[in-house]
Amino acid sequence: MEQKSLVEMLKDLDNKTVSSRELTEHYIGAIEARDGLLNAFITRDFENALTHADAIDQMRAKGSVVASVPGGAPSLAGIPIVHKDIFCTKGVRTTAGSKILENFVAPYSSTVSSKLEDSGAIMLGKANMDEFAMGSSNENSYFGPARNPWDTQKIPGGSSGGSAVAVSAGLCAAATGTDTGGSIRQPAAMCGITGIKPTYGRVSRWGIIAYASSLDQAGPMTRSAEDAALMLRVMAGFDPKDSTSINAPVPDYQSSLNDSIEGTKIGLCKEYFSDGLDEDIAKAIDVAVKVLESKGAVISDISLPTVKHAIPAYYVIAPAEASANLARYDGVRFGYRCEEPKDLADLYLRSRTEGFGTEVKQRILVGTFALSAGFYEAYYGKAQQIRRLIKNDFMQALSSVDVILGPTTPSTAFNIGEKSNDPVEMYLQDIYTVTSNLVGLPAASIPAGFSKGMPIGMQLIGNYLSEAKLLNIAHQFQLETGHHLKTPEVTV
Amino acid sequence: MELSIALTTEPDSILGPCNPNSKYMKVDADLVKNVAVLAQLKIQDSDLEETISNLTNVLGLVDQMQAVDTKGVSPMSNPLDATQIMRPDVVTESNQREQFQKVAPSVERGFFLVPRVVE
Repeated sequence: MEQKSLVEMLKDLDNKTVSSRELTEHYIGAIEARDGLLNAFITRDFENALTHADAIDQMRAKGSVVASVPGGAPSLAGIPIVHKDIFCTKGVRTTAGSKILENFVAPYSSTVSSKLEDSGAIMLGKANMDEFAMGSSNENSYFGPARNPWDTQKIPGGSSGGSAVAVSAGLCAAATGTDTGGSIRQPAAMCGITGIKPTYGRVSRWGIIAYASSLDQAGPMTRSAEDAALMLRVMAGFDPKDSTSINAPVPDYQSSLNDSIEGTKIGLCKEYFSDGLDEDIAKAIDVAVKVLESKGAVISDISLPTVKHAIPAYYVIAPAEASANLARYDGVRFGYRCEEPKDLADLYLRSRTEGFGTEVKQRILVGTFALSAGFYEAYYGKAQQIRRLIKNDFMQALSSVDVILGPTTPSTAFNIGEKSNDPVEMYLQDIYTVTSNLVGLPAASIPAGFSKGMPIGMQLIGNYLSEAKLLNIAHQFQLETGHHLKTPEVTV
Repeated sequence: MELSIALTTEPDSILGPCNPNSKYMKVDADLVKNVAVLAQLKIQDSDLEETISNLTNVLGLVDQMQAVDTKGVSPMSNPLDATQIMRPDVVTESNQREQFQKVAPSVERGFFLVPRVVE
């Protein structure tokens, strides 16, 4: 059942060969059997899921479930999904993986979770993540790390680690994630699933707990590009409540999946194949390129000389914006409050100090420093200038190729605890992914093979609003390869 | 963009003499403690050494930026160079104080409670 695509599941639901209750119960069973070990969920919401599934089944029985919902988006009626625990969901707690929000129940729902609910998707629960999306391994979660289903001694990647684990291990049909520096693509790569970070502004940020507002973007995490096309169609679109939302129509991503990729120009960025890239990953990407070439894609080498500055610029901009966004956690209006504060200053100081985890505090410190008077221009201003230079490089490259292809990560998943003591080494995990956040370009990661049993991800970066093209290429690749169909055996 | 000039012409920051041209920012206990005050965080003495070491490493990484020639490059704050969207000046939300205060740690008669500020 879990091997089926969303399209197949919807067909089964429409034909009544399976009910939403049966699907939901199937995933609940899988979660109960395997999630004690995998820790992909922070909050389970089975009771509401089953109630919702029954309601959908009744609507279907009456013939009142339609193929699309208002706005032309497809129906996901009866499909069980999970949300990264960064999307506010009215009535169900939203923690962002933090102690400071351990008991926070949002009084409203994010635009993304509302849209998915309106399309009839069933929410099974909220997925584990690095605290406030700060991390590349899921080890920064207050609720303990999620584990990679391909090897439970290894990290699943982060920050959307729980979402990636849930999809990969068959604990849900699809999931949502967010990506500020690679947080959809890196765990997707490490868990062997498909993930896409859309163009900045394509998906509304409203109701998503903010990390770095000029970089944050939400997207789907799924078993295939076809599933991602369906999910993204529902998630994307203009939202007047997000001041950086793009007011452009959302294409039917499914309708272009089967377009021929003959003549599609694919650029290989030589900077993405340099020192530090695992040999097996380099080989797998080579093989993948040949597959695309056999489908008529035209391959050329390109250079993006400024991408080497992306990590330093990112680790100024992201912490700077985080330090401003996280100033709201003051122990007064919501979230954790320390015991018996002796005065207001003590209340602020101890609520924040006790409520935030180590990495979050460290990034707040870096960001506060970078924004402080006298240093602002040398750090934040400089980083924003470098961002422009990187964008210029990409625009130059994308004037001669349609997409840029490379590895998603420099290595496959590493052991839990292996890099957790060295922030800089951990930050280098994002070396291939942060650039598209800085520039705002859409980028997808799709399974491209295995190294010593662990999944390898291939990244496709396209021009603004070219999600349809990325999904088209990804789907064409997945028609020729079976990497995305492989599933891990989780023995508890 | 005029706004940023006021920020940059400030001669000294409260973190000490400003020297944005220094190749490597020296991170010491005073700097960490001062930044922590600004951020409303307390660094325990037992964590001070590790924090200094981590911040030194992170700032060492980000200081690689200083080698990049950005003269005359305009900073990019939005990837599509979009400007702030304005909405019509009409009421769209009703007052939901009770609902919002349900998630507050401590409230009384519609007010958020904090320790006494004025004696």
